[in-house]
Amino acid sequence: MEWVYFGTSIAILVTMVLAVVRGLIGPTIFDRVLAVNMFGTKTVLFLAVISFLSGRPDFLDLALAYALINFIGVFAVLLFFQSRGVRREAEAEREADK
Amino acid sequence: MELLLDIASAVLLLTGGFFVFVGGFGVMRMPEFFTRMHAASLTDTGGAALILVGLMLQGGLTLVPLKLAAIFLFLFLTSPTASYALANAALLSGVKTACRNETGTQLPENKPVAAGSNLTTTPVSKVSASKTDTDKAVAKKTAKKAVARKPAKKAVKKTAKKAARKKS
Repeated sequence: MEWVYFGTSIAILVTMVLAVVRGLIGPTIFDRVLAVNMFGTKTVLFLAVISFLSGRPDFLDLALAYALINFIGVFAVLLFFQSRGVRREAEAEREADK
Repeated sequence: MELLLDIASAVLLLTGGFFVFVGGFGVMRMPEFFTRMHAASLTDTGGAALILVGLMLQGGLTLVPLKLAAIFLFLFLTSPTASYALANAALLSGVKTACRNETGTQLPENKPVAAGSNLTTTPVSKVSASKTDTDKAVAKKTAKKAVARKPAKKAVKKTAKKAARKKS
């Protein structure tokens, strides 16, 4: 079974590298957020596979905690960028009033 | 029985790894944002489900499959929510798509994202389906300002009239 875990973790690692590359070159901010979200999900899967590969089930708790943190982090960033357009409009209006 | 479980979980894990890899490749190669989201959601559903179920089969009768089930449940609740929020935010801030409508003609506002621009922003008020509370608040503000400006203009006119009278 070792080689199956090994192959799966290699596939997940390659995907994580691809996600990081997309996050670095991604033309819009949302591409970067998407890449970060995907990286987080892959980290959860990777931790789960590694816990079986190394025979330490404690890693599953880390995976669960990471899933929670990742979700909240993505939402915080998205709320910030979603309201940015509205805030920019308001700022432009304030500038126009001066 | 042991061998059967091993084979089943090996098949599930390797298929899951394949799905994850294909999704990552799609995120790298797809032409624009929404197609990239489609590729990423493939890894979130297919890849995650297959890998976690494959690991569950290997857990035996311990707490491990329960924890894996918790991770599974949590991922399947959160990843669609995150995808929805991401697509919504992208749509509201005017990320362009390269898709075509039913007749095959290109959508009129379809322009490639300008190179070097970090974020394409069209004003939120231009998106017809985005009459949010904040929009209404902005509209109210502008209305109030317009009301406040009118007396000022009248005052200016009055002073101008006075000045004209003085001159005459």
